Amino acid sequence: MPLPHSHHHCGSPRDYFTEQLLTILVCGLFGFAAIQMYRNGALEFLAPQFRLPVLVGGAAILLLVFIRAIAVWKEAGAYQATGDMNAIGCGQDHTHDANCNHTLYPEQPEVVADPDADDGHSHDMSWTFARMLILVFPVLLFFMGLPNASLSKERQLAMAGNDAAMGSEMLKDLAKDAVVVDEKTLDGGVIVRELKTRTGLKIRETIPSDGGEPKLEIIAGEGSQMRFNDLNDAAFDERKRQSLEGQTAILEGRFKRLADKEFSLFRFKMTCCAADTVPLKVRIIVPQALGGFNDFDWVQAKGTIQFLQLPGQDRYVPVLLVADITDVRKTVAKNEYEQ
Amino acid sequence: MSEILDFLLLFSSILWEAMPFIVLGAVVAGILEEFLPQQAITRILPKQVVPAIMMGALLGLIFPMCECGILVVMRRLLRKGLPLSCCIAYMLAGPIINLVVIFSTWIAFKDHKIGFEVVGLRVGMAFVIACVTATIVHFQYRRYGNALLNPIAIPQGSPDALESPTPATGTVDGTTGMPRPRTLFNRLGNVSATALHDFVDITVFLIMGAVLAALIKQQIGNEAIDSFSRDQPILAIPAMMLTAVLMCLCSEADAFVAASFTNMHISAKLAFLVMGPMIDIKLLLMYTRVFRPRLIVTIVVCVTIQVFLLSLLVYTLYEASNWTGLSG
Repeated sequence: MPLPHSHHHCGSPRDYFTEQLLTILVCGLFGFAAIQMYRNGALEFLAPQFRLPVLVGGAAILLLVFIRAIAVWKEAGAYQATGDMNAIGCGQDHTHDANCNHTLYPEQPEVVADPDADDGHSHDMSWTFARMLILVFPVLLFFMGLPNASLSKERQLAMAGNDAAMGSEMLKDLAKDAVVVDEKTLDGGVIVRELKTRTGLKIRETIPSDGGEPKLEIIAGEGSQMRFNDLNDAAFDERKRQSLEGQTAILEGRFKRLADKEFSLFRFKMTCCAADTVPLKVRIIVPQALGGFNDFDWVQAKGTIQFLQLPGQDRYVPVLLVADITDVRKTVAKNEYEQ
Repeated sequence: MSEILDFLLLFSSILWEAMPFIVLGAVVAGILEEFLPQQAITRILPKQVVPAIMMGALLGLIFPMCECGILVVMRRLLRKGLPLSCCIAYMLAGPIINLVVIFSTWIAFKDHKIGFEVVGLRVGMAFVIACVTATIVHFQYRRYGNALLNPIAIPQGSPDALESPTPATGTVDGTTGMPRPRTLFNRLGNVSATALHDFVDITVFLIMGAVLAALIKQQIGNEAIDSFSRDQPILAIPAMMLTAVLMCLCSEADAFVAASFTNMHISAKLAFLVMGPMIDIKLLLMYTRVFRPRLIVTIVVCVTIQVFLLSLLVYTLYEASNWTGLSG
């Protein structure tokens, strides 16, 4: 015959108060960690709009803990005075005993609840301690100064992908359908023409007097800072592509080499947290082979915006065509996540 | 070493992002437990099963909660007498059919020129899946009753219900054993007791789920998924369903991740967007605090089959109209 036993925290006053005090302690630490992480700026792995809720959540937990602590204090006093668990409301929890006859299945009234079964809450303190240990894990990480603000270099480079280079003949292809805007003949018979493609790219074509191979150079504008996100979004919208093409953009991001004259700059977009991070990439094509840059360096590049289709694919990718190699330079580190 | 640090970062980001919503859910649960009269909900619900379920599926429009917080609230509503079928409909559809997620989905896809399509199909699929699953659960409940539920979630007043998982301080006089009037502090004490109880109960499983999700997410590369879905558009549907289960993304953010799979057919994106808020690793662990395994299996099987079939239907319709659903 099953022994009578009470449920939940009323197994014994000692168990009950131990569980309550552990809950107060661990939840208090949890709330404290949440508030301190916000105050110390240690929530870089969350999007800005999700950081304040952590502070509010932490404060709410501390408030709950405060109220609970007073309630438990009063309960302890009442228990000391009367020695009766009913005095602290524990009698509200039911007790299984031989006369309990709880049915598990309405259609099978003969099947009664097994008081020794695990029905969602433990009958000893081991599960309480196990739960508290699990809850303490993120708090311990906080006290150890973990986690880092951003993903590792290896992971970021892996997320940036292994894109194939688009090729160095692209400028020639773009110049094919260009119209001549201006033309001058210099001394010695050298012809200099200014071309403009249908995508707004301005090209200076220098044709030697001996009829040799024309030299193509991009004519750069002044340039303004642009966002990776805007360029990546515009790649899907024909009207936005048309409005941006031909403008000169300045971008700052991590460097990843694709070929001698081609590399990617990348940053990341985080909607809610680091787990939903997606890379934002822009290809940069330079007129000469580029040296002195390593993968993962922070680099600034200025170039003319184009949206080009990848070989064998329908989609467009944003590309900056750099006029002068000096328009690519190292820069100071920024936040990995574009705001 | 860098892999461990990346794991800790992914784990922490999943946990701390969800934490405020769990707290909100726990506080709402505490207030419901203390202030909502037993059976009050059932009085305003339609008597017929199907309209009640449909109302449950649309409850997220009034009480918007993410999938983490909704579970805590749903458990209390269940204890307060909201029928299990309505709870299931709210739990499955609520994280999708709410204004915050509808707006974020539209924002994520508007530049891809498929914003309204994705929103409409996502909401429509979620509604159908939630209602069908809830109806099946309704019939299952008629057969098995509260044996489908974790005792802590069994409606109050049922013979095998726990009276309260938390003490109702101040309700009994220590010497006479008679009920005594509750002071405001007693009531606040009870709210805090329930809220902390639920917070601890659910956060433990959130932490375990976040550990698993972070471990698995380290092995998943978006680029591999993107190229696979381009080559295998039909197989991409189950692949994206599995990805959604493993990635454990918040329903407010998953649309932006889905939108980043630029080569993927809209059907696979929808599979990802509908499956994730209904079933993922952390949710499965958290479900164990409300349901018994039999009911969890029912939910998982129903949702999985429906998401796959409806996504396949979308794929077929789009192919028949000679459109890929890819933005151009």
